[in-house]
Amino acid sequence: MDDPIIRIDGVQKSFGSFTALNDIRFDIQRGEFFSLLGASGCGKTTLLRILAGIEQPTHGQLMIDGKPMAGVPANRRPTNMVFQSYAIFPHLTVRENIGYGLVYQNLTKAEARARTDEAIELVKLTGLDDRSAHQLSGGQRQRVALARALVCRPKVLLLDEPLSALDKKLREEMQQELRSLQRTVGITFVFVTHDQEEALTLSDRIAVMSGGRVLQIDTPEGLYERPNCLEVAEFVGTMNLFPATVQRMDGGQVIADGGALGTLVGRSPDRPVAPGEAILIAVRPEKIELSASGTTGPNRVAGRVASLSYLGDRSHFLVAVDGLAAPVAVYRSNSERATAAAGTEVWLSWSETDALVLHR
Amino acid sequence: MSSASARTGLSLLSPAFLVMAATLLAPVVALIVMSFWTQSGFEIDRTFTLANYARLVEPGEGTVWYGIRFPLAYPVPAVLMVKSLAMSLVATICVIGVAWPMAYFLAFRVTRYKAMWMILLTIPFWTSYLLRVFSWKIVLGFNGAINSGLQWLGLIKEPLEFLLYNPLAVMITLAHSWIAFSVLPIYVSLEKIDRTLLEAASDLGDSRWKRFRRITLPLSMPGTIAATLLVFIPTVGDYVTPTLVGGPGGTMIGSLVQQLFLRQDNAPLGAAISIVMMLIIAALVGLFLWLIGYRRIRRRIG
Amino acid sequence: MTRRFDPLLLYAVLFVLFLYGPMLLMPLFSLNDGNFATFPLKGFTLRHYGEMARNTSMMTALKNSLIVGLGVSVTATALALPAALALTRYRVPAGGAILSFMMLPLVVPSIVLAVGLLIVVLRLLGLPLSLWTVAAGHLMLCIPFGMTVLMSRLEGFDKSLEEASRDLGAGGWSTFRRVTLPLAAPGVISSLLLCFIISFDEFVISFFLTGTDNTLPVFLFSQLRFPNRLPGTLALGSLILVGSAVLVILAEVVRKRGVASDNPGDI
Repeated sequence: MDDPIIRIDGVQKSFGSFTALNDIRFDIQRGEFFSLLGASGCGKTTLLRILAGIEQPTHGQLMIDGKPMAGVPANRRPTNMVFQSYAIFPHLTVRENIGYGLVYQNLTKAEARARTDEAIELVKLTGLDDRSAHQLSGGQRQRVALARALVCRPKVLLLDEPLSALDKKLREEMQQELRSLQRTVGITFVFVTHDQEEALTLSDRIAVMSGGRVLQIDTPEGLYERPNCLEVAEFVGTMNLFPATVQRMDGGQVIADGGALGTLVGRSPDRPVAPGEAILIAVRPEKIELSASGTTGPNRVAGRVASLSYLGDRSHFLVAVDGLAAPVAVYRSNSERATAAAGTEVWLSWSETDALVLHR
Repeated sequence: MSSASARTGLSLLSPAFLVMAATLLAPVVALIVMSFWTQSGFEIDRTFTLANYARLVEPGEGTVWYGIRFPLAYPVPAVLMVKSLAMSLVATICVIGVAWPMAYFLAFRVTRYKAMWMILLTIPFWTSYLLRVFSWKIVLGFNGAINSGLQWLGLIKEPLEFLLYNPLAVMITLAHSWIAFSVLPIYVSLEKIDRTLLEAASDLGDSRWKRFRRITLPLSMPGTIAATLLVFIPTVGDYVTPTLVGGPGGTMIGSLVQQLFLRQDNAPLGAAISIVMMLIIAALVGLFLWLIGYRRIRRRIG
Repeated sequence: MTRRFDPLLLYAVLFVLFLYGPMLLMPLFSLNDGNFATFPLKGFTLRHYGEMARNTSMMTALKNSLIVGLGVSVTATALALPAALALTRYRVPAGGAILSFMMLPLVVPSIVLAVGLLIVVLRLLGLPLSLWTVAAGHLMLCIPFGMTVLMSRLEGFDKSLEEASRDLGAGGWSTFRRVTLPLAAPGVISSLLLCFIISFDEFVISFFLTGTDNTLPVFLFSQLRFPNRLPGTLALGSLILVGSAVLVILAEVVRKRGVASDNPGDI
């Protein structure tokens, strides 16, 4: 399947001497829910605005639906955008806002009316037609922005942190709605967010961005289970890191010397390592087991519970380990609080298939 | 994109800019050129000369004004310049002193009817300057409201002659004309002060007065400075006020420029005086901003 | 909390009295049945207003001022709107310097501007002085005011509104007509009103650049020298004061309303 809806080919963007985007190249497939994830200032919004045609790339090519987009202004692109501020026209009603773009679509009045009605129904705004922007709640404004973009039947819907202005509960509700809306309309969504949980929940694939570059593009599971670098590992979820030196490779495993931590064994990374190389063994908190006593062996580390916090559905333990600057985070069920109260000596252990090898 | 943006921007800007170039830039350039020419009879002698400027500083017998000697052959412009600056300065200080508490009241005490107070202060600025000045003539005149009122009440027998046609009348009128205008910039800078800063200062032990001196006053400086300049700069060259309420003793430099252009028909000399006046004002403003460390204030408060 | 007496409130009231006191004498004496602006008041009359209405040269001057004011306010706003758009929406090279230059009339004494214009008109162009030359001077004074009002209005609303319009398919002109102009409308109206007031009240530049056709302030100034025409002058002055005040209030209300309706959630 080599007919991507979007092909970004070596896009670079500078503002004066500042490079906002550097050699971005990847494809987005038809019908995907694709997220651009990164901290503020990583270039994700700039990339989205380049897709929309609001900004032009300094260098590089952009194809949407097989057509080169160089010189095509925003109003002639098959994309529509939901803005972070929603950009609801304050001088127009809900209906007028939603119908704004239909003027340019060569529709009869009746057709435009039907399309608008359909969109109003789709985002559950029925009955609010004549409200003006300042009479709407945050969630309603967001729905207007969505309907206004979708009613134009774009090939790609661009969403710039559309949920960031909503409170937690409403945000989670809207996440579900967005996801099912995307399945209903079947349009490609490109979604910008700085919230990794939101990206993991919603997306088919995610591009993690930092400093104007794409670090990794993968499915949510791939990103979480197989981060390809330290930055992705730390940005997506929580990661425990154990410094070690590579001793040898054995099949699909890397056997490393963790110094005071003993022998550490991890899964071989995509990019090979050489004996003597300094690496990090990375383990997710929920993959680590706690036990009161233990035998020695690889991937077994002794520590003392520094603190624990009760989170309702599970408990978080912070275990201090000699030779490590940061305590090790461990997520276990509440029942394990009995074996590992604060101050007790514990053993940490994990399977070598759950241990990743990252370059330092 | 940025070059296309620049092109569209320039084409949108150019009509207004061209009109301003024709009506503002051309006159200023013409004024400068004119100042290097001379008047001979009814004709303008177009040979380049510094004669007009030389005439302003040519030494001579001179005159004494308020104890200050002006040893110049043609001392009138110099005397009027110093006099105008002094009168504007006094008027400006009075304006800021009177406007400041009003701005403070608006920013910190008015909670209801704020729009009403703002409109009350805006109206005078937009009503005819000529009429505002003229109304002081009615107030202070020989047959004016104060004199006739006091006579009617039997407090005086003869009208007080010292009210109108003197520098004091000019300064009062100037101050009155600009006072409403100067409230607004001070008000804006006071309004912008984050109220939690004041709470923090109190929390850290400041008394109300100390807090005012250490927080409110310094943070209001950008607006206060703006107000000072917005009053001082235009009043130096004012023409209407000295003409209407100044009398012979209250003339200012603007009156001289008007006379040179419209009555004595010596436009080149008038042009030179106008330019010297603008340069002196600009230099004084620059000196003032440098003395109070305006750059530092701007950098800190923004 | 009980309301304590606030000395600042007293100060503010005195301030407003000082501000308005002298000006209010004009309407007061204009309704007084006497030929001088003196106390005691002698009784109510409207005869000065009648005299004023019969004074044909005064009426001509009023008509001239209205024509110049209307023409200048429309032209200045029409020029200031694209200029304000350029400086707030586009990357204009040396935009800051150009703006500073255009704001000069706000700080240069108007007598300097007036004599400069006089030289250009008489010596450079060799044109006769007329209402056209007065209007040119007023245009120069009004454009910076119009731009200030319009730029603050244009900066006041979210730029993504225009981006959204482009994104939804509108071209540059269509976006201007459907989004920018309606949102800038309160600014446009207050610019029109303020420019009209400035032109209508302006004296110094008109005084220097006027030909045989007087504007109202120039006419008023010429009348101030004749004490026997004082009551009619007072009547005219009162009407101008009231008219200006009404226009300013109108401009402020329009501006405030425009600002208020942009705050989401603020009904």
